[in-house]
Parts: sequence; structure tokens; C-alpha cells
Amino acid sequence: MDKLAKRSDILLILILFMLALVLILPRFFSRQEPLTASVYVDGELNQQIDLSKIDSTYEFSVNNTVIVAENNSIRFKSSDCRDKLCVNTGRLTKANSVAACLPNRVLIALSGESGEYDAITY
Amino acid sequence: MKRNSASRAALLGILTAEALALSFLEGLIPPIPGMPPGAKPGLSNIITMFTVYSVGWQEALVITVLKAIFAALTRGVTAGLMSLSGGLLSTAALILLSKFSKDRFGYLGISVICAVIHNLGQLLVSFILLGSAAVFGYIPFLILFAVVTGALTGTVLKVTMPVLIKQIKFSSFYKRG
Repeated sequence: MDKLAKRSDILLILILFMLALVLILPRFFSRQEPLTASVYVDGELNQQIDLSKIDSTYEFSVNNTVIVAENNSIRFKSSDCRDKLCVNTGRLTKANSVAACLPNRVLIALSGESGEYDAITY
Repeated sequence: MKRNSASRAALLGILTAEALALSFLEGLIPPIPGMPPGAKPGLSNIITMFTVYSVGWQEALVITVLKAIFAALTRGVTAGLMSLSGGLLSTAALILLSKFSKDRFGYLGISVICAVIHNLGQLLVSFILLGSAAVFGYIPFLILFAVVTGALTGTVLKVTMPVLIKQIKFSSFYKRG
């Protein structure tokens, strides 16, 4: 590997770049609403929230994290974990986007179709 | 210099210290909005690549494991697991590349492949910890990010190679990559 870039390097980078684009682009055209947020703890569905039906803010805490749901958006407000990656992920507003707190095993995933229920709380 | 245990320990110490210093430095970079959470340039991969190609694969594995222990001690168990999974998989890929297709790729290709595999290894850990396949939705963004960071680390390795070679040139560990 004495050269910085060979022909195969350029080809590899182009292929990976195109692959990523092909996978990312459809998301911009996918049906976005009504947005449903699913909150999982340890891989189990904890609650499902129809974000289009929220008028003000709905704040709740799950497994040492605080989550804030607003109209068509949801985010981690705080967490007791060390790295705060979940809080730094910011607001989720698009279908198929996810935010997670690994130390607390909490995952928020957004989907573009309405869930079966308006809200499930345990 | 003989390939004895003292010189081996000294060389490993230097390389590990360099890898840890780079990990620490990139930890100081604030989170970039729009980037995958926790995404980092992977600068310490420069040392791993250099070690596999110019010193030996066993040494590279030792550095990878020490790096994961350092991450676990300074940033917690989750960070340690992420570092171990991504590190071991990408180092394994490096070793296979250096053994079986030495001349197919240049610095850029090798570091991009490592970055992609490193990210996939970390995604695997988050899948196991979270128990949800939703995390795989990140794959396209991780590939895109890996292409950028891989190109960056590959370029830095190419530029710093003469300096890195200098520190081991007179030891018996040096093999012409």
C-alpha cells in the first residue's frame, strides 16, 4: 500500500458513496405522516405515541431518561448516562430516524404510519 | 536490537500511547449536528494500520484490546464494548487485507474499508444492547460517514508514514510493508 490512492480505491469509494445515497434518498420521499414514535426498553415496546395528536408537550421518564414528545417531534431531554449521546442526537422529526441511550437501553424509533393505538402506557 | 521482551514492551508502549492520545484528542471534538451520534474520525486507526503493516498483526491486536480497556475505564462499559467490537472487527479486516490482498488497495481504500467495518461492528453492539433492528436504519449514514473519515485517516497515515517509520526503523520489529 505504497500509494495514497489506486484505481481500486477510487472505485471502492464511489461504490460505497452510491450505495449510501441509494439507501438514503428514498427516505426523503417516504410518507412522513402521521408520525408514530415507539419507545423500547431492553428491546421491549414500552410505549407508542402518535406524534400528530400531541398539541402541547408530553414529558415522561423511562429507565433513567427523560423523553419529551411534541407535535411531530420527540427527543431525549436528559439522561443519567455518561456520554449523553441520546440528548445530543437532538429532535427526531423524520420517519425511520432513531435515537438511543445505550447505557440505559432505551430506544426511540419513528415510523411513518400510525400505530394501532394512540398511546400505550405500562 | 534483539526481538526480546523488553524492546517489544517498549515499542508496544509507544504505539499504544500514540493510539490512546489520538482517541483522547478526538474525544475533545464537540458533537457535530447532523452526524450520527457518537461518530468520531477514528484517528487512532492510523496507529493500528501502521502497526499491522509495519510491525505485526499480534501487536495490532494487543493495541486494539488496550484501547478498548482505556475506553471502558474513561468513558464507561458501553464505550468499552463499542471500542472492542469495532476495533477487533476492523483490525481483523486489516490483518486479512495485509495477508491476502496486499497490493489491491492503497492507503485510502484500506482505511475506508476499516472505517466501514468498524462502524458496522459498533452497530452490532448497539443492536445487541438495544435488542431492536431499528438501529440498522443507521447503516447508510454510517457508510457515508465512514467514507469521509476513512479518507481522512488514510491521507493522514500517508503523510505521517515517514515519521512513524522513523521511530521503529532501527528495531528488529520493522518489516517493510
